[in-house]
Amino acid sequence: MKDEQIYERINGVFRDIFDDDSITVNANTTADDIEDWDSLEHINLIVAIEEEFGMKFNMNEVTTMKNVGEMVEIIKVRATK
Amino acid sequence: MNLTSLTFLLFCIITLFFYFIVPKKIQWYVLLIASTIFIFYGNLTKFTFLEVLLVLLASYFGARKIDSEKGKKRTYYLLGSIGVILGILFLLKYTNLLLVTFNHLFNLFKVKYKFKLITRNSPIGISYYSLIMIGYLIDVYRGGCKAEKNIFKVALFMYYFPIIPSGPFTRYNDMKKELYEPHKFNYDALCSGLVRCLWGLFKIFVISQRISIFVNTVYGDLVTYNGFFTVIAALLFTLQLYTNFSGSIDIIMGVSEIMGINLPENFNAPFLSRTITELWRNWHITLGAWLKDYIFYPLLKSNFMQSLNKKYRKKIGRKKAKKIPLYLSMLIMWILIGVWHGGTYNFIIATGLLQFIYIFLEDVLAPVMDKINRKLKINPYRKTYRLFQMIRTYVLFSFSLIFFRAPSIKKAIDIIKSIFVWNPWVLTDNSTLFKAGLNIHNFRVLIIAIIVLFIIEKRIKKGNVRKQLFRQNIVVRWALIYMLILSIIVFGCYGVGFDPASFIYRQF
Amino acid sequence: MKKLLKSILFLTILFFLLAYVTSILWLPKNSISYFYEEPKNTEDVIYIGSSNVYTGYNAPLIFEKYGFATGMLTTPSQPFSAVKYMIKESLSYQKPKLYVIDLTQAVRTYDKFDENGVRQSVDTMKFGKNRKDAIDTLLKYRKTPKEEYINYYYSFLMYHNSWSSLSEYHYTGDTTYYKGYVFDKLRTDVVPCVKYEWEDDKMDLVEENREVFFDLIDYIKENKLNVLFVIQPKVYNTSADENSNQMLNTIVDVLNKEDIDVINFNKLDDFSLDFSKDFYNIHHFNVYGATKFSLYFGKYLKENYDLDDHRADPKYASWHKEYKRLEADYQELTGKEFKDLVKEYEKDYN
Repeated sequence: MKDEQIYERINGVFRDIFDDDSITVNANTTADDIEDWDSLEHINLIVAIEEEFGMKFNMNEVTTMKNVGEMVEIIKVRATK
Repeated sequence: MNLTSLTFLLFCIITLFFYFIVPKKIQWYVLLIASTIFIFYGNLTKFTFLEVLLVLLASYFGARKIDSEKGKKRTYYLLGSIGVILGILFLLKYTNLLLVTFNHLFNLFKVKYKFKLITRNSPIGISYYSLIMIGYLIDVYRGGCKAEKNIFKVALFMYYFPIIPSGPFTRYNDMKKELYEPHKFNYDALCSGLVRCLWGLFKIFVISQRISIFVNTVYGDLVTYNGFFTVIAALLFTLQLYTNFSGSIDIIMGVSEIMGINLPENFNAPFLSRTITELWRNWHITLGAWLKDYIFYPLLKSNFMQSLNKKYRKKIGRKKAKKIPLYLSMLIMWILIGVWHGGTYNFIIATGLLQFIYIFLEDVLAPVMDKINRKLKINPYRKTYRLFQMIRTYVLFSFSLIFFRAPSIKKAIDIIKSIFVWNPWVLTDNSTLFKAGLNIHNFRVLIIAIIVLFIIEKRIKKGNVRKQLFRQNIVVRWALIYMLILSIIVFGCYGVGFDPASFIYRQF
Repeated sequence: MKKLLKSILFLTILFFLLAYVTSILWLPKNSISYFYEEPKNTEDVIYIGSSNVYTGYNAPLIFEKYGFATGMLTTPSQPFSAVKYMIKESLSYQKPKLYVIDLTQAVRTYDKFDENGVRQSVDTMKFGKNRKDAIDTLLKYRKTPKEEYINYYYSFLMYHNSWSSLSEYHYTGDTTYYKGYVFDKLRTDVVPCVKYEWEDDKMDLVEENREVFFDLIDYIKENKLNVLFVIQPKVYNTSADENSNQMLNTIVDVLNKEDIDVINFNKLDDFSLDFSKDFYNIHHFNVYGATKFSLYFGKYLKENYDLDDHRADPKYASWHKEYKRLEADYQELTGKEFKDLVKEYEKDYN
């Protein structure tokens, strides 16, 4: 899967979760950039991405991922759909 | 050893001296020795020694095994070692909570038996290092870090002395480069660390201890002091707690800074927050982070919670459905925070249930508030509205702390009842208020100190105040530091006789 | 190197700032503070006692008239258990020919002493073993719990709170003490009292008072000190002085037996007070009673003890200065000349 494809799909998930169509994420996007991305929404986001790509993040990754770029690196390796 | 005692000062000076004078290779052993002295200082019994040792061994061997084993065995080792740590923690801190609960149940079912409550010395810092070691084990289990092979390094990580009295919570991955790597003496770090310690002492002695006189007087005699006295005491207690706690953290961080050891920040101007949710993001930050990573996230991501989410999705819509596991996990987490704060029910209410209710209501009522604001044409981005939100948050938080301060729920209810006495003259007749332990001079000092506190907090939120201080020219810089030192010495409430109805020489 | 110098400079300035603040706040000034500023070995007599003494014995006047210098270790309600330590304290600074010890507090039971009495005796003492011993002893008799001792050892734990009650004198150091003698507006009041007639019957001392008294006698004998005990003239039939008269008679007996000098001002034929004029309250002389007492007692000491005359010695210039200050302050308060007062009373005693 190409990076652009992944980003496109991730973008869809973000827009859906945060209910905001103006969101466009890139590798450097962090929780600080998106107003509603707090610790409460974080898991919802993670679960939605897991569903989207048919994969699992482990707990260590959930708690230490710093930006969308790191997320994409993991997806690249593990995505099944 | 009290952080504000002369013993601690002496202890630090000796530790620092050896820390910087020994060869760099064995530098961290100085810390280990100092920390071992610290944790057992005045509290060395067979029990405390055994308890500390058990937690250390359980974490050390547990982590090694988790690292080397594979599959299901890792989980058993994880649960086993966490079981040992929690077992000791519960035995020492929560046995009484359990016994009280049984006694209440007995009472309810008219069983005429009562458990006697136990008192036993527990090692200081047990609620901190227990959680820190559990975090370490989970990190190793999750593959977030490698198990440390040197048991002495684990020991130092477990009870590095500054964090023993009141945190912050640390993580092995962050701490290993801080603790074990050599640090050279740095003059700038010394100055900066000392200023931070002084600021902590200012908070504790000038503000916290001063408030405690008033709060103790009022809460100690609710017949004489009620109505506005209680309101002021409740509002001030929040500051008392904050300045005491964050002041201690300042000393801890200052001492660590001198040694070149960076610790995670534990506070970020919590009372400039506009909601309780935001307040808790800035209050006892490392506890929040610990709970989030090791309890809240796993809970929320668990199959049970996610299936709950899916189950309700069709019935009530996706938006609402995802709130159900959220609220449930939050409730569990807040009860745990309450339990962690102390082994009695009033703590579970104060720092648990009430906080959950606040945050729950904030979330549920957010759309309602938006509607009201629109109707009343209130602009929520106005400064005045933000100020209103800050005050509201502060008041709500202060209310919950009544349960924190009171020794029992019954006493807390007495305090709340005593608020409903209408005596506004207390504020205006210019003598009544000053009878509750703090005279007018002390109130003036207190108010000025609180204003200084808020100015500094606001600046800290924006940037590094101490860096700004050290950029000033020498006259301004030194003048400010001298003022800080002298105000602690003169206006600080210390010594056993800090009764401000101060003792003046009489002549006859 | 530059940093080291800077640190040293920083600490030096801090030291001076602290020293200044301490001098105002921490080291309480009272009736014996001046004692430590007196030049070494210049005092001929040391007078130890409580408020009766510093309101009655005008040391600068006595110096002016009779030429000898008296050091006053007198503090309000000074417990008698402090006397031994006052003597020890004085021995580090002075070599007096005579100790005069007031007996008023010797018969006062220890439950009647308050914190003020203890604090004023020990707070100003110089840090050291004697101060610690004094505190231990005084607090033992006051039955103070051990954990409160630290409040007395390190009195700044309490006194730094005095920032909210600082008055001008904390800064200027101007006091209403004149070498230990106290004179101010209050001491010009006249409260008419009824003359007290001394009784001759006796009563045993309370156990604790006995213990303290005999301990002092032992100390005096051991160190071969030249001591004169004094029983103050005042009104004794008050609640504060219950049975004092009778117990003091017992003490006089003991002293006579031990061959130690004692003088009871209540029983002297040639010393007479006017009880309707000489007191500002039933326990204390006003300035008029004090002047009478000082002129009489000063003369008595000069005649009965071998005391030098230092009036021409430049080392004693501060005594003249203090006397001048007293004269000026007297005039400011009463509108009259102190000299005239002295002259008037001198007729009676010369």
